[in-house]
Amino acid sequence: MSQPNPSAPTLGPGFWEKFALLDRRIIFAFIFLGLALPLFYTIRQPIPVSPEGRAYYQSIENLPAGSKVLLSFDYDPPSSPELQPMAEATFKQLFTKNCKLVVIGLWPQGPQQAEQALATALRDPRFKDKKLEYGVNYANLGYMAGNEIVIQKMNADIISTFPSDYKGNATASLPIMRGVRNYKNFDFIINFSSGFVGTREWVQFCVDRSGAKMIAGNTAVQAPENYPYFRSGQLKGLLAGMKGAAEYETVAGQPGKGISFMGSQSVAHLVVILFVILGNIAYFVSRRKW
Amino acid sequence: MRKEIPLVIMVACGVFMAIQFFVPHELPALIYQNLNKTVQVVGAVALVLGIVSLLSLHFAKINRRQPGYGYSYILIAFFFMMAASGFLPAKVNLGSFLGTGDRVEGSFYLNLYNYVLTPVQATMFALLAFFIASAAFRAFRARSVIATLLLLTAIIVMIGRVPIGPFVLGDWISDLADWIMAVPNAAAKRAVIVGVGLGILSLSLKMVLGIERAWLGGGR
Repeated sequence: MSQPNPSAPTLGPGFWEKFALLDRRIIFAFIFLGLALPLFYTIRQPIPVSPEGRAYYQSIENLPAGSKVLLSFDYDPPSSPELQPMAEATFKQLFTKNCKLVVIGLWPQGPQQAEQALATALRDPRFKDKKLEYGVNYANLGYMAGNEIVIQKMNADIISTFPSDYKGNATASLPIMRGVRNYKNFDFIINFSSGFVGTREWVQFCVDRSGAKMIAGNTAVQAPENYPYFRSGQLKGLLAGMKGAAEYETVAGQPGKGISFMGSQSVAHLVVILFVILGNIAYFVSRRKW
Repeated sequence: MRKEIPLVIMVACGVFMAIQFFVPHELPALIYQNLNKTVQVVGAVALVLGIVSLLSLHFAKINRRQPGYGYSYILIAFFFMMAASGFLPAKVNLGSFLGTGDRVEGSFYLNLYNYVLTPVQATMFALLAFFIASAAFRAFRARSVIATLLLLTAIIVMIGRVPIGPFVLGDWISDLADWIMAVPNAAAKRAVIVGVGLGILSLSLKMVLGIERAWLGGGR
């Protein structure tokens, strides 16, 4: 009969061994509480503004009053918590500068997201006196299938690429589209995207070929891919995720959803970091015992 | 001929698309526009194929009573409902609960979009936060020097990119996170972009020159 070896690894029910095998539902519960509880409190935190966030705001601020701006909404509802606050604040800044806005979407649900952001911006009491009118001050040309091919086609003729708008009107009949042929007739381009087709394709097929000036708002997952374009000057500004939205709202002086959701994101990040640190302690303690 | 004709079409299109970029004349621009339209049409046909494939898959699942076939009923019902909502004439009124046929607030289309599609898609995406937290807890271990570097970088970026980081630790943490994003991250991404670009260029050249023929199918 073999005797137990005292130098053999102990598989006793130590705290860290148990912790390393923690039920994932407990982690889910902590994340849920970390995300949900801050929504019930007003957490005031100073929000540092990154250079790319400040550049985004400044690029719009530097536009002459009444500039014509093309906005492409290339995302869908899953990304709206990150991108919708940016879009709403951007519309408000553009309307403040009396810019004329033409909206398109290269994702099927993009134009609907734009409609929601427009509706929120237009409810702002600051714009009641401006009497902003559809077709004159802003227009939504809707969705067009074809991804980067649409971007290339717009470089030749925007009206033939989008023959009718989101509401079914002939694009050529809209006053805002008078004299518009291609990107050269826009003073600025803004892209909100969460993947393909998105900012990268706009840089490659629009900015590089037509010389248009462009800024972008991306999800936090996508933004790292587009930092090289900001560093090279192909993008004049870049907002990254909900933090980017909060930065923009801070620098624009328009507190909105971006800032209010930062409390949840802060606590959730702390919870994840805490679990990663505890997981590593459990890993090293367990390994030493072996 | 089954291989030669596609090869000739591909070589002609490839050479034309490369040359037209440098020719400032109306004719190449016109051909270029028409080729773009062709790509859009092919894309639209692919969309139809995708729809047919999706529906036939789920109808087959229902016919065979495969596990989870009940979800296929839901998919098919909402597929047709969402599509039909886009085609409804503006004058149609489906009642106060379902809404009207136009695209204003309270319409059937917007009710489906705002109260079904948006919450469902947002919920699916939001689940990621929970699974990422669980995966980070189990997989993010300092097993080697490289893994430790990755772990430390992730912690710095995570804490530096939320306001509580600089609020508690000072501005240096957000400056460091910004530097990581703008310098090492941008450098690595730039290398990937340039590498992928060169790869696409060399593969395109091989295809145009007829060296790479795997896309024609038919094995070796």
